[in-house]
Amino acid sequence: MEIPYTVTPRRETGLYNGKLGIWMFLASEVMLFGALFSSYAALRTGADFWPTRMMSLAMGTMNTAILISSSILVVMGWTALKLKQFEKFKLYQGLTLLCAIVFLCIKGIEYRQKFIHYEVWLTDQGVSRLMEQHPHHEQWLKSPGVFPGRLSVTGHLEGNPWLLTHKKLKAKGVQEITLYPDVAGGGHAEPVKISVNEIFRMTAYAPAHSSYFAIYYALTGLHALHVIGGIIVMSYLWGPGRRMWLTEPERFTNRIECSVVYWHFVDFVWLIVFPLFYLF
Amino acid sequence: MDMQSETATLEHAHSAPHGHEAHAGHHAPLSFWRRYIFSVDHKVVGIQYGITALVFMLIGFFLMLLMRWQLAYPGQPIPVFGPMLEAVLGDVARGGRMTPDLYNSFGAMHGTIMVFLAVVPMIVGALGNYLVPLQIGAPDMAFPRLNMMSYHIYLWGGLVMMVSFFIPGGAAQSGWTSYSPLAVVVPTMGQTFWLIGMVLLITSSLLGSINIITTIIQLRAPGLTWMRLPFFVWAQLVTNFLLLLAFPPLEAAGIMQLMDKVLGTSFFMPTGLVVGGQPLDVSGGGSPLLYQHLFWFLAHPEVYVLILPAMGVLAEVISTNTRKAIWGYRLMVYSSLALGFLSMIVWAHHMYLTGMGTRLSTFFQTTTMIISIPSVIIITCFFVSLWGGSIRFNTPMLFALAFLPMFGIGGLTGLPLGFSFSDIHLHDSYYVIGHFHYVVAPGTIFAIFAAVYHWYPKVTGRFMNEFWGRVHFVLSLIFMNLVFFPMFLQGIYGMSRRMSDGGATYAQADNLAVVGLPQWVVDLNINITHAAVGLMLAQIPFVINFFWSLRHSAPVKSDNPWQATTLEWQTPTPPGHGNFVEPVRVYRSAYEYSIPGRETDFTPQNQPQPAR
Amino acid sequence: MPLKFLHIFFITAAFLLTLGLAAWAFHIYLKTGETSFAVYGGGSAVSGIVLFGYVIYFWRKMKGIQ
Repeated sequence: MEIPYTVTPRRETGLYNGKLGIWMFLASEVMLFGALFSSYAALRTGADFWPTRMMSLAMGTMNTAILISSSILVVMGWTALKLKQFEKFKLYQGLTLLCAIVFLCIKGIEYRQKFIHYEVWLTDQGVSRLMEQHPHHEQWLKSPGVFPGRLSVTGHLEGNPWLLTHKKLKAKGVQEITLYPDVAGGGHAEPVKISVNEIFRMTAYAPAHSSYFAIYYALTGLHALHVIGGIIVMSYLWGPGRRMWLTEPERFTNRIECSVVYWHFVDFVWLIVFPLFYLF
Repeated sequence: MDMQSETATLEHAHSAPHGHEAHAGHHAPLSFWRRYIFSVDHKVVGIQYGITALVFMLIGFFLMLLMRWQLAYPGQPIPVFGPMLEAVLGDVARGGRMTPDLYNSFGAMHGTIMVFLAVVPMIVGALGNYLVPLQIGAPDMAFPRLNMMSYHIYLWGGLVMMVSFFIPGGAAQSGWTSYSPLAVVVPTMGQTFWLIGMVLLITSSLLGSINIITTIIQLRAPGLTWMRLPFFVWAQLVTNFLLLLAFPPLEAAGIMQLMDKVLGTSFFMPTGLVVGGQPLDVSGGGSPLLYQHLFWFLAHPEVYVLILPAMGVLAEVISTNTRKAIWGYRLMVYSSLALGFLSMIVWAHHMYLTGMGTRLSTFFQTTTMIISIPSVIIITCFFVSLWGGSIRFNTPMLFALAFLPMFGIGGLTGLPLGFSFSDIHLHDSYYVIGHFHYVVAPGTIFAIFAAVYHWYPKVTGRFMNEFWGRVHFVLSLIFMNLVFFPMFLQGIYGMSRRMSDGGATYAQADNLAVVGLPQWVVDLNINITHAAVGLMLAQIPFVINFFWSLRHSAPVKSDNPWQATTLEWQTPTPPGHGNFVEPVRVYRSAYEYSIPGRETDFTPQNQPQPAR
Repeated sequence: MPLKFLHIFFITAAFLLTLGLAAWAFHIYLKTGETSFAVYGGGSAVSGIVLFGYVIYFWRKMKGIQ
């Protein structure tokens, strides 16, 4: 016996199986992202200090626009399929995939930017030494933030290495680092030499940096994994999977519909993530 | 015409009537891999889940026996298995003795294995998968390939957890609850493996619950309205909704704890934490309480996941063996829906000692008291169902009957834990261990036994041996009580859980009037350990019976040997691919037993005219 | 929920986001005077109008398809 209602909806519910399945899946995803958003709220309200304006608004806005466009495009693809315009469907589905990949690329660029951007918290003697030797230190010496009572400098290192920490520096036997400090308004000041003994803690803007970045990477990382999942499924349906259009067009259309529902959810999560990290 | 049955149920049951299937579609015989390993047939998947779960249950039981030796005879080498442990695990079992670290990891893994790898996969993965499509008259689950995937992901999750015993440092050792910061701070990789295993298990569970929910809603046979469903199916529906909605927060917590451990984040690590005399080199600012809230948000509904399918099994076994409908079917359905909903808002009763303040604890105490009402209603309905019944005291029925008072003890002993004023004394004591084991061990596990004895004839075409079934029952009942009842006393006298020496240190305290344990409380450990060994011996007849009966016991003489009304018995034995020989149409409710004026004392659901 | 309504819900959410963005950007512009925020606010407002127009167009177009 064939499994009923894989294509034709059941009259009582008005749904075919896949549709109910994907909505149940999304219910669990709401709980998953909901738990992370709740954790964001708990961490932020419980924090003494919460960084703001750490993200590139330009890239975030671009990503938001790309994802919204991709949702519009993917629905256009589904509409084309409903109207039996298969060539148009292929075009829109391809454009959707393109948008998704560009989104990931921009996200990758953002991650890399963060991985090469460092914050160095100084010991007390480090602070006094730097203040003595650099009369214009107020341009780049930051008042305490994530670590109460500890001043810090942020900036880039020579050669832009990824994800160094003070532990790794000590393990490699490095004695001194040369930091190009950030100044307000953008750009760098003159490079500053800091001895490893003067470093209380050093991390890039990595998950270990602070609760802000921890929850940022958790949320955007999980979201990116969902984007990748969506790309995999939609690529399959665009590529080898589209043969089903010739044999079972209605079932194929239903599959596309389920993937479009999923894609809207992924996009919706981003609409929430964006203000939480890029605006406030 | 190719009449080969495409199911891979235990083929030894040749003497039983075979399932023939003449369905449209290709009959090319599937390869061994597609039939037995990567099968998409829900019955095969159910059996896979069942066997895997029972093996994990034995492993979890074995871990507990080793722990019990340590509790009764702290510091003494373990007989027989001590040298084996040392050979396999090395220094952590030096001299064949259980070190505190090893005790902690066995304790954490015993809980994890029993809850996530044994009981839930058995009652949801095995019983749910096997029986739900049959009981609703469907040919299979809504998403057969998803079903196959969820089994394999479960298997891999379990294997990852098992592998963790053998890595340097051993398995996770911070309790099945894995509270941060301890779980993060312990410098071994066991917790990381645990977290990866949990992510896999949660994924498997989510895929499975999507499948069962969709199947129940969409694939009910024509005529099978909601109120004609067997109670077992209702129980599975509520259970799977709980799994669907409650697991993701634990997955989030698991991801965050994994990031804390591997990437050095501070989701759950508070500022200023000092470990081993050194301030911890993390960013701080995290909240250990956040982990607890996320964990218990799942773990409370999880206990209803543990009990509801068991109640479902009970409904089927009791109705069949009393020849009566379940009393209060509608009441039970609404109660299980209420139970499901309420279970999502009681979780912090596990956290009364975190300093939450009276307003919050009052809220959770109130919801906790309210949730006892639907549970009591369901048990009462079962008790009332017995009245006036023509009871068959076969092995499944014996287990079902014993469940009722055992669950009663377990449930009633939960009340002092639900009130924060009494919980302050009892929290994290052996009283808690007694309470939850009563509900799960002579509770759910008895229901599992009842289910195995009850449905074995449908799956294999043979009965399990009745005599040895009764032996298994009597011995298990006696030893379960001997193991767990003393724990209530130990807990009330203040013995704390998770102490690897069984409280021996506290029995030697200077001023026993102020702090410490009476020696007799600690000595009870010895009695409990002996009873645990007895309990292990009591399972031997079951294991032998299970395998011996496959080939050698009495074959069934009909497809419906228990003369039951529900649809799974109106199939060939074992059911073939597609389950039903002809399309199913349901005409009546699930428990039409002993209706006056009818020729037989049962009328199957799909029988159009009752025999007159 | 039919996909049609889900899409309309989604576009509405996006529209509300653009409104919020515009309000936020103008608020910052008024506070700090940086013109880039005025541009940003203007861009968001325009996007909002575009999305609003799109949702009307979509609603009309989908009247026929179920």
